[in-house]
Amino acid sequence: MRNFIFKVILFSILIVVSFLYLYSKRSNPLVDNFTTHNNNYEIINLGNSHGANIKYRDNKGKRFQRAGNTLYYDLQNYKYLQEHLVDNAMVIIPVSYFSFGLDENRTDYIDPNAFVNYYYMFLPSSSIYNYSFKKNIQVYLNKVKENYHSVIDERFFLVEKKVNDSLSLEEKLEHHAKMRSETHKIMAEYSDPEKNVIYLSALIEDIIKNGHQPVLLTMPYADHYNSKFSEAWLDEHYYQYMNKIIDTYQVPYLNYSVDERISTNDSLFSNSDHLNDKGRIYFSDILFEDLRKIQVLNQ
Amino acid sequence: MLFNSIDFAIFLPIVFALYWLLTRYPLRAQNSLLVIASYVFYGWWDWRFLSLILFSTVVDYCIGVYLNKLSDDRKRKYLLWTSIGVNIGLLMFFKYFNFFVDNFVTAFTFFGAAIKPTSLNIILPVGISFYTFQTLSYTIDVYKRKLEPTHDFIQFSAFVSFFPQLVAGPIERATSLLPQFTMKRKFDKIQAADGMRQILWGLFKKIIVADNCAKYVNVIFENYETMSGSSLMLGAVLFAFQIYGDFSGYSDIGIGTARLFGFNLMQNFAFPYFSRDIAEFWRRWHISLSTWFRDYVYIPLGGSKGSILFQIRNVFVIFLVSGFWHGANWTFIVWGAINALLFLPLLIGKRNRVHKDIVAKDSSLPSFFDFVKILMTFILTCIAWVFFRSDTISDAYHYLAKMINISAFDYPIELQTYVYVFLVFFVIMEWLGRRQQYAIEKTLINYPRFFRWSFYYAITMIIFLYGGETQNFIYFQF
Repeated sequence: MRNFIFKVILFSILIVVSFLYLYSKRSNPLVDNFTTHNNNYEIINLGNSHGANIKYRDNKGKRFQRAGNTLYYDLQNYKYLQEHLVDNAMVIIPVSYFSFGLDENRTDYIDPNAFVNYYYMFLPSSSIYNYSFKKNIQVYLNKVKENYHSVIDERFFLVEKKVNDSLSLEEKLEHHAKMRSETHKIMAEYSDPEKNVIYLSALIEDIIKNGHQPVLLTMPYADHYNSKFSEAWLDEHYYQYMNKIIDTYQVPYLNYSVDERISTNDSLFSNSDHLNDKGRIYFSDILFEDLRKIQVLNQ
Repeated sequence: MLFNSIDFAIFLPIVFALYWLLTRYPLRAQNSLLVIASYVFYGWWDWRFLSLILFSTVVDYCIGVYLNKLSDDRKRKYLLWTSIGVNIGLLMFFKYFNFFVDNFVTAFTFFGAAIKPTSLNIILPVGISFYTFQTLSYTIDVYKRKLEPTHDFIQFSAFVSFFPQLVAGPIERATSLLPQFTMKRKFDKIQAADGMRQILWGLFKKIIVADNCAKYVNVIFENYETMSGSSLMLGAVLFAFQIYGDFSGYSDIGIGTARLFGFNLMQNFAFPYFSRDIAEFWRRWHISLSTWFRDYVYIPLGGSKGSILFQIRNVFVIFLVSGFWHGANWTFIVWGAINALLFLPLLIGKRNRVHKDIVAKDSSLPSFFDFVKILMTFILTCIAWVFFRSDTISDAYHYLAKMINISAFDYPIELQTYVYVFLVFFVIMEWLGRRQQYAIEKTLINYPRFFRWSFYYAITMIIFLYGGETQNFIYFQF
């Protein structure tokens, strides 16, 4: 029996070592972004993928957005990052049309690996909603699998997807806006908004309590995207909650969703609700200028 | 608890270690541990249904004891029917209640009578079709005096709930499994290593073959109306691989696990897709269920004795009941009927026992005619599987009808290359191992240790790195 157990253990070690090798083979830039800090920040932003629209010119500012992020994880991410912020640092909280309907438990509307699972890799277990040890192991195994496929597999097996370039930019944005707005409406109507209001309130309170400055932000969207949401829908699912928060906390709020300098200019967008590089620079200049105007940014 | 889960990967070593630590204690200790482990294993899914297993166990244990004591045939028969009534009653209620209600409503509506049905929201307890049949085999064998009943309740509980085969078979006969709980088990490293090998191959079948096929099968069957004929053909073939990989994979993991604990379970699949006719296929597919029906239904009905009409009736009964066993849906009954129709010409022509041995028993490749027969049998099986997989008979009919048109010559939907690679590898390994209990039982035994270890290492890594999205075992729903 001893011999059998010895062989099983030896074999298991071999597998574990292979896993560790694959695990260390490639780091995850999204996780690295949260775990690697060269200095203390004067300004950061949280939020979902729309948070990527902000471009910082120097290393005093940094983006900490995550695709499909919920307000619950904005709160947890802030708690995790707060020690890396200077006194009086500004924390920009981009809130999207769908933010109040998001559910910290739900992962099926986007690739789960791109969302909650990564939080297992850097947030403490107490910050993970419904933490599960089993899922934690699964996340690490998925990382091994992902690394393997990205290193070896792509060369042999995966065929590059052909991109349909026959559409004009306007047509592409319109097509994208139709698709995205439907998904975003489903997301916005999925969960209890009051719960997300509580998370956002807790986040603002925490930021203020720590001597940092919260700024609420609605990102610029292309007109193609905005036109898919009626005023009534936006009031019901978005503005009533935003207004409630702003009234309660009197925090600065900047709304660029229908800013004509950006939303009517298709060439600034990579798709209907995300800016391209040119758009990011253009928008960030406007944003920082406005922050200076309202005297929350000094220089 | 799923065999292909992290829970089981933690559960198994713990139970294994405790089990062999108990060898110095009386046998009852090991059996008790197996009962506890089995109840934990089952309760992990839904603890409420443990009461069903316990109820079945108590009823059949008591009936077994009394059957042996009684000599009055009438009373003994009464007890036997009580056991059959309880077990089949549970099965009927949990599995078929809504099916019967729905069909009664349809029938009454057809004749113009409107009735308000009471359908219940019943959860099907995992594995109920398996363990009820296993306990029934015990009562029937005791009734027929083929088996002495056990007077040890723990032993009997362990037999009914033995976790390696509790939820999806093999459906063990009491005559074969129960005596193993009465004997002292000694650790046998060859048997344990063999068990590990079989578990590994079972995981490969389930995670690589079945789960990877499943993602395409689901897409094709759910969107069959928009698919080309070639994609539909591909879908049917992939489902054949999926269900074989899924079910035989589960059996392999179960049998291998049992071996780690010193138990031998029966072979449940003997390379059915290398069969040369449907009769051979049914001797090689889900053997424990086929032989159960043969021994407890077909032979008591008269089997292949009597007039040809009588034989045809028996064949239909056995295949229809087998189809119905799989699920409360007409698609399963039609699937059973198709198999009966394919089987009948062989029975009438007295050619149903022509192919008793595995194909190409003494050669490495099949003859041309054997190859054609294997191919034809596989195609017929795939056609029948379409009914098994479809939601309704109408869906299955349209699926098959859509297969036969000019789009059958189009390119089918694109599969990731590694799926083809692993399917070809799988078929080759199965072919090389077709004379054994499972494909890699002895295939590598004569190769140097380094080569064998490299092979097992490669299979393990493939399982982790290329595993499809975890799917439930198909046969859990039965």
